[in-house]
Amino acid sequence: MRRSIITASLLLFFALSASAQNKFALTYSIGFPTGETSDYFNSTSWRGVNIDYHYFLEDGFAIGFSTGWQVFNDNLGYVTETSGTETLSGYRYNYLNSFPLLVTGSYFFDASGELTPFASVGVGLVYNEFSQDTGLLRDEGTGWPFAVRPEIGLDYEVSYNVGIRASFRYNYVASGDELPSLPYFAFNLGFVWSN
Amino acid sequence: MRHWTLLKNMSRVLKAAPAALFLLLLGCYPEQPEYVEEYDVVYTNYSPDFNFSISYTFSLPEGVLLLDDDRGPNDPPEFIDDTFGDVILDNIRQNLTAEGWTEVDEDADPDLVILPSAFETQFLYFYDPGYWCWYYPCWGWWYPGYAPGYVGGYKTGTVLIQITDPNGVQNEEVPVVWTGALNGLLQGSDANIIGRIDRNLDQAFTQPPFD
Repeated sequence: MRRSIITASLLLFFALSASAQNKFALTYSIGFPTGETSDYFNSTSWRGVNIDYHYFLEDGFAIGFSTGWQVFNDNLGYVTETSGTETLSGYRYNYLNSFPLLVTGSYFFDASGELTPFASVGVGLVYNEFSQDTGLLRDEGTGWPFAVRPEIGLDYEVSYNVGIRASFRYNYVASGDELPSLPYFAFNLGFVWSN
Repeated sequence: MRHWTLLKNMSRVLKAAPAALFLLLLGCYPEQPEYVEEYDVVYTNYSPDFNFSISYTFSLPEGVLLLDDDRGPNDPPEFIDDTFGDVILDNIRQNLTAEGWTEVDEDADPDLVILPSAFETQFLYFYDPGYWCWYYPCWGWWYPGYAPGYVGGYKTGTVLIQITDPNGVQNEEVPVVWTGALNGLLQGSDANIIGRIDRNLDQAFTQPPFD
């Protein structure tokens, strides 16, 4: 019985592998702060990149992973902050380096044409490095908060198995590890290819 | 053929894309301060048990003490250059006078004794009261009801001012009722540094409890 299950599993694995299609995407990302993130950053992030991998289980449906790097920074000018009897003044610069590591589930609608709309959900962790610089002083916190990332997008096949991807994401990043919740929206544009 | 050319070009683009994106991301702390004054920090802290709204008499020493690890409690005091010391003393004098306080000679039993000091490079985590033995009873000191923070860094200069209450001495320790620290890069012309010291001292005296 055990041997049968192993054999069946191996057959299923090879069958999936033989028919499987892999899809990769490398996209440039523009981030827009929202929620608590906009308390620390007013500016759009023009520094971002994503790498996505999709493994098709069956037509249209794929599992995969997503990672990337988004950098937010802002100059808040001269700031004076008082806490209890302590007061600190100086020019404030805030920085956020956000590295998501997500497992994704994606559905690609009607992959037969040149245009393939898709919807995706990613769940996982984000490594956040959040710094608030006041003059020479740096108040830095790092952590691995939980993240959920719904996404909608469009793949346009330019040539055989090679195309362009445009997508829009909401990166919900929970508070944790002494870091505030730091969500953001992102528009992504880049390349997609399959094998 | 057209497809092949397109694919070849796409392939080149795909190969170049990670490098281009990497260049785009160079420096995960972009747009840092451009001007030296943007690195300045003003820090103040005070005793919540002390009433700052009363008009006090105060005394100032003749110079701003240079703190130096190599100097012992019995060595003669060493002051910073008058070019900067006078600016610091004048500024403290003006700001405290504006609070309605009156400067008196240190022999006239002032209510408060102001201890201005400066040092380079890095903060002395243990600020030895022995630095002031030439001027003040060689006691320790304490911070009633609060804990002073510290300002650190490298290649920096710090001006540290302590307002002490000689009438509140307990167990041979002088209460420091207010601490103000300016910290910044030791770069720029004398005029630039003087301007920054002046502005930052003014800022210190607009922060609580002087606001």
